[in-house]
Amino acid sequence: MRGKWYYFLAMLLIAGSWVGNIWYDQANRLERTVFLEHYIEVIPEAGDYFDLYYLEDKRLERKLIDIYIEGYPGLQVSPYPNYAEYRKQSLGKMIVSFDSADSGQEPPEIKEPAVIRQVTALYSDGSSEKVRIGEIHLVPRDHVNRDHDPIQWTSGAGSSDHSGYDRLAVRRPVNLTGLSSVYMSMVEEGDLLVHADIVKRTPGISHRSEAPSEAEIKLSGVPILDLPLPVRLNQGDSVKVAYKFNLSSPAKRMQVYQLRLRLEYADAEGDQAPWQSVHHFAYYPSPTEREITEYVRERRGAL
Amino acid sequence: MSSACYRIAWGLLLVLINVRVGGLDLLPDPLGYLLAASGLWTLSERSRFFQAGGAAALLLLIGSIARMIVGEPGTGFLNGLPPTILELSLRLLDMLLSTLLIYGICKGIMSSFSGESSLNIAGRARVCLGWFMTVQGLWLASYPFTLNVDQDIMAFCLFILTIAVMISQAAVLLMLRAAGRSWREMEERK
Repeated sequence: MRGKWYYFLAMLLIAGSWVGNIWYDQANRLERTVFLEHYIEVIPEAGDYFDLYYLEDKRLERKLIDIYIEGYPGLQVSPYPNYAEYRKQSLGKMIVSFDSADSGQEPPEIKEPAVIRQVTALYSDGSSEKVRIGEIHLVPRDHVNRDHDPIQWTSGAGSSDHSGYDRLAVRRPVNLTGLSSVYMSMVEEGDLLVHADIVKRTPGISHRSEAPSEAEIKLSGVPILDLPLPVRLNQGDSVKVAYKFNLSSPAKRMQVYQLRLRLEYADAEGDQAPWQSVHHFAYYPSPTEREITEYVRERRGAL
Repeated sequence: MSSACYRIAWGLLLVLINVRVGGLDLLPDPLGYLLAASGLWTLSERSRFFQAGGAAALLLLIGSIARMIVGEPGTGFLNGLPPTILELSLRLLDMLLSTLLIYGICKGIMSSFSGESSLNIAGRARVCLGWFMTVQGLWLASYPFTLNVDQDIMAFCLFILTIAVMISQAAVLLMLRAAGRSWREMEERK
């Protein structure tokens, strides 16, 4: 009798392990490819690009192989299906650039701002569907006059903690008159922290490495929205624009953000056309296994 | 009866050992299951447990022939992919039939030697069965975790359990050999 109880308990344990594991596995699978939500600003000209991220089950038979953006046939799309691997899913991305495609097809010439909210997804089984991807703002540049830039980009860096900076050198006197981005609301709401440093430099030695003296510092760590515009920049001054994404909610951390912050300048003598420097700020999610599991459950509920 | 015992033992040995040259198994599993089924069929009159074991060996024979023809199902777990439900189900069926085969052999030997006390074959069969059922049970309970637990951890756990299962099967082989020898001696005495 004791032996029979032993076998019964063992069978119960085995059956529980199988049923429980299969249930947990099914509850954490995605039945179809899902795109993350994107908030992207991009300058539609050669050299600029954006990434569209998607999550896909590793065992899914119908895989995403390409995308097509209606109305913009010349965009170059490069698939990167295994950007990050998780236990059950892969995080992939489609890199969409405005460079000339290998096919020779010219990228579209975009002169007016436009918003893309959906793309056509092409799958390995030959099927296709329109999918929502958030919003991609195509914002053409107003002033393109690179031969006479009053501001020269000297260095920049980005970090895995979603922060970075750009350092600029002033080549001739200008006034910093304004700043703009489609997503300035992120700065206003504190999801993106942007600070500016302006240091007075003597022409010819503006690239020295020592820390600036107090007398040289014009503005230090000033939140970009608090800049006392217009700010006079003299030849030889150094400007540093630093950013850090500060996304508090888990939902926002699973979204993709890309900004092109434009600082606008006017010639100090007023005899040159206005000019812009563009700063690239991007947040690409790098979720943990647990975050992926939570995201999958959330998306399963929405599908 | 002794030759039937040896056939079963040889059959299990062929299944247990895989010698592959250029992807070709020199000791194919169907041959092993065929020998085991043939031995168990001979002994089936002595005990219904041998009948059950024989039926399991026959089904395993069909499964192993099908695998040779169709090919192994894509073992996703080994390819770094989580296994599919189909792969898991086939694996479960295979493991349950293997369990029934060893269970049938051990219980059959236990019932056949229950009256014989000299070599305590029945006692050895009981110990072998207990050991085998314990490790096989652990294996069966652990395997579905391959769906949800880190693959490196699972590969290590399953490797250890597989070694334990193989040792328990080797013990069953040695017990069968002893049972065969005992039967031969009894036949010679008669």
